[in-house]
Amino acid sequence: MERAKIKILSIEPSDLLYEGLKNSLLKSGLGYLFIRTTSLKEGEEALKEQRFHCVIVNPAAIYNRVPQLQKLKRLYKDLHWIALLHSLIEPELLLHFNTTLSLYDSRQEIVEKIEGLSLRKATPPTPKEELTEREKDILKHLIKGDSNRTISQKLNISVHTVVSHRKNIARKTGIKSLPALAIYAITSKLLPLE
Amino acid sequence: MNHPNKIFVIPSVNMYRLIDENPRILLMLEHFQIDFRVGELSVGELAQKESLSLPLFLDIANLYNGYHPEERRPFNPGELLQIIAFLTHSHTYYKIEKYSEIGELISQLNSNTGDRRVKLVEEFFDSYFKEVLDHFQYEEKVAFPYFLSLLEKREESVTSTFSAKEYRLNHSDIETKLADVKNLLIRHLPLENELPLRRKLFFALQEFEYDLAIHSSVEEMILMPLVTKLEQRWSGRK
Repeated sequence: MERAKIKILSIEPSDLLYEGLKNSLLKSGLGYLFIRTTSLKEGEEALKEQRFHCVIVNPAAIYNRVPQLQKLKRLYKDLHWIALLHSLIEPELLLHFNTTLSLYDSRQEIVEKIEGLSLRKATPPTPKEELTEREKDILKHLIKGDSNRTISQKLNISVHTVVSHRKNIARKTGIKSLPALAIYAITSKLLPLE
Repeated sequence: MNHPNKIFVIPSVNMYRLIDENPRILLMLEHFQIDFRVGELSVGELAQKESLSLPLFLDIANLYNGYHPEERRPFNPGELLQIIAFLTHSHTYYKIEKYSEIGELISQLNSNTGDRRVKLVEEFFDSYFKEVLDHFQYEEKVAFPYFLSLLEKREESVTSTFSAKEYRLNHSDIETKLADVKNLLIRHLPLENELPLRRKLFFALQEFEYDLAIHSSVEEMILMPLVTKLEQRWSGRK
């Protein structure tokens, strides 16, 4: 059984380095999804919108921006930060990363580092994950046809929190569409079979 | 849709070896309407024999083996007809073969178990497939004629109701709901018997999902960039 795809955020100003890294990993035949940004600022925006397993950063993108990097590391604790070394880098800067990739690493070495890190504390769905009570509440409201805003008002939580719960429901069940979620709710006895 | 250890397809690869390693390549041949008796032909020789664009044939074969095409494919308008023929034949395969196969297996599971929850999944699948058929019809009646009109800059390319955004949204919805069917049947329905039937159903769903993912990739990564360039070519001449 193949593993879930590893989703990588690349913060890489250089087209050449980005293309090289991406092609090398894609041609490994394992599953990777890439989102590319060219600065730490753009990377921050991407992190707000999507979940990633790891971020591969050109250290040139974080010169004089270490506080911003530290802030992102605090916000996204499960994320793995990998530096792509292309020249001599100050050793202090490298302390902010979980590991490094070198331009001279073989494809196998690169794959092993990314797989090793990403699968150790990975976020892909696991079949045993169960919905929390809050997620079950939200699911019931969704099936009734309530919008995110209505749910947020009824449960006295923010719309952002509702969206976040919805993402978790989809991740844990593997189901995204509402009609299928309704069937899921019946099979897991959250709703009666009428 | 990435498959460890599959070879990266180049023109000199023996076609039979490729099929033997990944039998799903047979689906690709069917969608190109190529007979399976490939003898000792290499990939390059087969593409030439069938008068197919070699870069297109290689890119699609590599998609079946889990490798994405280069972002900047060479611009070759002549590939458009071949791509659309490939996609239309794959529609026929989904409509005629996969739908009835999966529908019959779920229906059999329903009648064998008498479980009303299976009946719900059957209804969901039926309604899902109606959406799939609508989407294919939209592609065949609206999108594909619009693409072809770009080759000649016929009048309908200006008046077409085609929307690239709608085209993409429809696709992701089709794949999402298919994954929902699979997850419901395999992960969430607490059935205890009918193992051979459920196994056949899983294989059928997986084959459909696999081919549909490649179908979408062909559209997203090969067809749409070509169409965009054709549109740019015409808009540049206005």
